[in-house]
Amino acid sequence: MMKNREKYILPALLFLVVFAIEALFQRYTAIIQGHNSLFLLTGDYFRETFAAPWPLSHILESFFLQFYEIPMVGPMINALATTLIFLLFNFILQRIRIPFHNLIAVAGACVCWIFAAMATTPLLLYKVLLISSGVAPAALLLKKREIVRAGVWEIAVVGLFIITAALFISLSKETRSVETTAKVRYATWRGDWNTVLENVTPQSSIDRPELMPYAFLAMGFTGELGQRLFSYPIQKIEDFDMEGIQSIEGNYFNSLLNYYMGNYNEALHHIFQYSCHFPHGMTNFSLSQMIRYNNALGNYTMVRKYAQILSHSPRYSPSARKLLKRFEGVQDSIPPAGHLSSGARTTTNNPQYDLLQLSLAGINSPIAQERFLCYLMLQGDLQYFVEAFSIFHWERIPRHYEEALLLAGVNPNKFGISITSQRLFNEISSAMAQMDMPAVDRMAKGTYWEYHFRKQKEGAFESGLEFDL
Amino acid sequence: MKLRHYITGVALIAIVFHSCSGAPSESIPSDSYPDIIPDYIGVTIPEGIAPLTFEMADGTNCRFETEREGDTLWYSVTSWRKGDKKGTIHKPFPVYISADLIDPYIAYRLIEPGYESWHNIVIAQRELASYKESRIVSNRANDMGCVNCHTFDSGDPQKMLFHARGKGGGTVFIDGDQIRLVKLAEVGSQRQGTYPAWHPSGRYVAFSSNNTRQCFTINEYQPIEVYDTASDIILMDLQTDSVILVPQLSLETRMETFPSWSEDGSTLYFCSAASVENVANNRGQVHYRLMSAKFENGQFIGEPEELFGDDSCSVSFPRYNDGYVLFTHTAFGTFPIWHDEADLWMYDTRSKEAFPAEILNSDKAESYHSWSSNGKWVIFGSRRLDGRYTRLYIAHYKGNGEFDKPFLLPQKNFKHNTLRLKSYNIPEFIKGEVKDYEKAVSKLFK
Repeated sequence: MMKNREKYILPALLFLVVFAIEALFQRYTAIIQGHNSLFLLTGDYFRETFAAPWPLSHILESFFLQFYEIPMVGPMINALATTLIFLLFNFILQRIRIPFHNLIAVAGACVCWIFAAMATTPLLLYKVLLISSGVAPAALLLKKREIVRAGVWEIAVVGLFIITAALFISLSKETRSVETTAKVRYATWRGDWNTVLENVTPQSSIDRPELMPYAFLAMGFTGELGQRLFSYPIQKIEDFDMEGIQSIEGNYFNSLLNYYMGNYNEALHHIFQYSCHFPHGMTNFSLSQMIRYNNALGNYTMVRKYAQILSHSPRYSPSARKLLKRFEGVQDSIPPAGHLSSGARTTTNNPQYDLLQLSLAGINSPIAQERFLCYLMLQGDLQYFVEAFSIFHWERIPRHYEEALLLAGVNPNKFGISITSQRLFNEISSAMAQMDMPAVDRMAKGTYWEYHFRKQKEGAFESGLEFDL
Repeated sequence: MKLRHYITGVALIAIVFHSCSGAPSESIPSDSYPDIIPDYIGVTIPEGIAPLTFEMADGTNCRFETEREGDTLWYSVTSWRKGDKKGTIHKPFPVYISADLIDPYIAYRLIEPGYESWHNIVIAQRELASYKESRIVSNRANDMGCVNCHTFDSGDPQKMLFHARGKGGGTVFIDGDQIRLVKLAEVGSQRQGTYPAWHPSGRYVAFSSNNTRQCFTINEYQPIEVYDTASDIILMDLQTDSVILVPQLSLETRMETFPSWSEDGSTLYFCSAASVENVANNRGQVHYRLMSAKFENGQFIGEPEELFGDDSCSVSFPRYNDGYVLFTHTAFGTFPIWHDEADLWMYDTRSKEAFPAEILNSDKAESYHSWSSNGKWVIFGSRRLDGRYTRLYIAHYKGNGEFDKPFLLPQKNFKHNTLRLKSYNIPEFIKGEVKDYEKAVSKLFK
């Protein structure tokens, strides 16, 4: 009875610990891994997979990874895989009569778990699983050994191993950083702006400035951009977005940013770029985003194409089929063939220029408009700022815009600038006149003025913007 | 001839059954042709091509029988919906079989129809008698850099070149087992090579050297415009490995591109447009003309001659055959595959008139085309299936500037065209199977 219980305790303990740690510290990482996977039952998919090294592990991994996109499924599958590795190791070691097989098997499984948890994908787990599954049948040929009951000390050491691995993963700075990024990305994709702002705060941005663009995008939605932008440690214009960064992060962010601004072709461009960072040059996420963007664009032919492709994925097949039914026979609403686009507004890799073009193309996106104002402030081009600001209607002027307007020397009463901002501006002006720089720094902290004065000192505002309309 | 040996297939088998399960035992005759996708009704195919596969456009089930009568293959299609007790036998449609031989293989590049980046790029070949596709080289050989612009010396599978971009990149020349990497930008004219054209003598290669950019339209059907800010034509002599910038073909005020030789190598056809300031915003003003330049003993003679074009159109990819130049006609610009209005046109070198090759065109882009070695077939890319992913079509050339109805390159299953996430690029006919050069090329980049 005791022997049987012992047989179940160790795997159960391992499964529970791995599941708990992954659920607590790698939940969103797993979801993003699921997004970035691709498993299709198509000839091309298998041909490409078999052309790369370790094809079987990749197929196994991709098959399971597609389900990681469902919350908590990733941690559960990883826990199962780690437990299976332990069981297989234990079985093999027992058969070849290695002493302390429980201990060694747990150590092996924990090492695999740690390495898989620290890697971009849990491929290692599947590689080891595949290899040990291959070795296990060979071990069957060896004579079965009488099971020796593990001593208390052995169980204690096994427990210690598991706890050490759990601590290693949960305390790892890298793991936490990846998880925060994943959480922010997932929230941005879902449009859960409160979660984005809870996770990317002015304080956290001191250590992780690369996440600030997500907060600025979220604030575009919550209407706080002009109110809170400079409470974040923004040092330069490049901190505002990820334009020009041809990284996974940059492409992910820009595809969503452009989608939310209504610039769907550019969103498609970035999602294509994003896909290129992954094997097969495509991911489940990219395919579903392409459906989303093409739907917004009115290109239903492409919606159907990508839905047909996704219908060959076990995970997405049911929803893709539903989508195909919904879009059956729907005519594209985008300008018909033969329409010439020579006069269309275009975007390039210049964010300010692109935002202006977006507006000139008649895309009425409040996010794009506010971002344009922010660019002008960050660029120090106050004359353009005042002109652009005057185009929009404001019920209440956000704090930073008031600060920029005051600095531009406008008539505060004509623009309806609050008394609080006017008073602070006057106080800072007199402190500056008295050369009381510590007072200026104290009063300007967290304002546009602080940013503007710093950039002026650095000589960054010499050249203004030049737009070719 | 090998092609004929491989598959006499459809032609020799009197009746071929292709069935979907659950076909009703009774059928009602219909006097209309079936609405099939792709449209193979009345196309002309070469003898021995891999069997044509198709589906009903409305997604209903179908099966078909074929019967050969002389040079015509009659397809009799029965269609039915799931649960139907009776099917519909459609009016049999003809597929014409031409006695004109076709090269046994084609080569093309497979790439995501993305914009700037890529992941997997493969220069592949396809045996026309079967559905067999195999790799010639992929970008795994050059560390995931770009591989592009492959071309063969008169369709010879042993002699080819392509560009391998990225770290340590250059132009790879293959001559049988001899493979070498030439960094064009480091010799002679110090220019990169882009679109190549191998002289029929095998000694020279003309390249255009393009400075290419792109911009994205805001929510237009055509999402992207690819344009050149400058381009010239350079000539490489393979005997001396020297590269020269051809003065007449590299004017400062003009952009010269898309070189292509006549059959006898005495004329180079190319395209040329006046340089335009701020091309992205003025792209509608970029109009390339069809040009020709005389070539003799390794030298270009005299000034180039303007053959066709005005400010209402733009010419790309001239390809000479039988006294005609087949080219892509667009409203403006130099990258027709993103232009819905891009169509194939013919220029008659005798009458000096150009006209659309109507039967080859659709309301979507038709572009990159090349002739078979005997000039009896043409292969081209078209986006007519979905507007985004280029697929290959082959058409029989009847002579006198006329073509038969083109057919989509057959696949084992038509769905392959939907499910393939890659576009076909730069299709070229080849006279035989090309070796897999992956390993050999990767050695150049180690």
